[in-house]
Amino acid sequence: MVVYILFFAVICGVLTWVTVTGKDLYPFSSYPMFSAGSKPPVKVIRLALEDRYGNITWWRSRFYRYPEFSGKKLAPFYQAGSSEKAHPAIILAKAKLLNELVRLINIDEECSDYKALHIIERTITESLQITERTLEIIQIDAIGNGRAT
Amino acid sequence: MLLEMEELLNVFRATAPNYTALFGKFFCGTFALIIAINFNEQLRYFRTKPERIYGQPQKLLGIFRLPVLSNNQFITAGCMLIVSLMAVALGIAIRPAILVALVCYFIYFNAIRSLAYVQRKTNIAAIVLIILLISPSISNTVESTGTLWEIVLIKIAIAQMYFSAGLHKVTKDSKGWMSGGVLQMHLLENYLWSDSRIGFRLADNKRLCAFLGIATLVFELSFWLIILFPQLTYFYVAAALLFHIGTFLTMRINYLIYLSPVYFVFFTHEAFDLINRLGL
Repeated sequence: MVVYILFFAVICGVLTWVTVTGKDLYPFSSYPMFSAGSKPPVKVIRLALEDRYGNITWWRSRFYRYPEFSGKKLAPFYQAGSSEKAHPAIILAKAKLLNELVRLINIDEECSDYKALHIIERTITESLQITERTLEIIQIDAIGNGRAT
Repeated sequence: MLLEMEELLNVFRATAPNYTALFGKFFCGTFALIIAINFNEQLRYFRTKPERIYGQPQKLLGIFRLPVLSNNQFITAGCMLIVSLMAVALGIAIRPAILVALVCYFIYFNAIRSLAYVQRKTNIAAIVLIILLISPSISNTVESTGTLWEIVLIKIAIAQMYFSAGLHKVTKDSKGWMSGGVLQMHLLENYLWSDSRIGFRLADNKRLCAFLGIATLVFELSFWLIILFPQLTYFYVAAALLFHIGTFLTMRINYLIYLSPVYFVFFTHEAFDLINRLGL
């Protein structure tokens, strides 16, 4: 019985530790998601695809959050006043990410026929006004050739 | 009713009906079924090489880096996980099967941890498997007597999940949650990603956001009462169901898939009585 009491205490101890410290000890977690919110206006970087007929649609991946996570990763590259934008390491990191995006879009069966990737900043204010601003239009061929910056 | 010290020790004595064995069978059976249903989609996701976008997943216990799998290894791990869980459900080599399931769980889910409906949402299943592995009652028949501490510990793990999430909300931005501002911002951000009209309409009503923000805090921070006061079970389980359906519809957060089998822990008494009544 002592062994089980000890085991019980250890599990409770770990659960308490992750709760109090707010740290993760996989598979034990403090579940910090969505606890804090950003201040308005809310901005996201969303990706859209342009097909060869000029139609533009949001990239909705079969794999659910890929477009969202990719948008978050792309956001720093478009931050206003970023003096490091032209740094070769930044250019390389962005090109690498764009290459990965094209690879993922190619895997998505629904997105097989397109020619350009639109990187769009969507903003919503507290009064629920939505604005959209195209930050960059990247030709897929350019990404394929490694010329995207 | 508050547990006295003696009652607390009683949960470690094999005097109660073997609820743990019944829970273990149901949990493992449904978990296996859920993995089997989602297997093709998860295999497709694995083949997209998610680590190239998301980076390497967390280390086990913050220490051990889990192996990177090939396509065949992923399929093998998934199949072994399903088979071992089914073995537990059918009462075949129960403890070795749980051990295999636990190992395969970490190998399999680690490879697809970035998938939105996996992430932290399967963590509780791993904790349940660890508890079942150590349980002295799990390999006994359902008809025999068993210990109760496993059931209590699984309930504590569920309560910790909610309490910790609530604590984060209170410590990071309690005013924002009480005023509805944080919830509104999350709903709006989700709308920008997904164009979900239901979330947008909800965000348009600040008072409703404030009410739901407060309700979320109350629910998460008080869920642990279910352990001390079992008579609150139906109330809290209903609240949890509403909470998870709400987050799924408005924010695309789906905890229900992998949490449902674990929630059976709150109904083992009823299931046991029903099985006895039906003479199964």
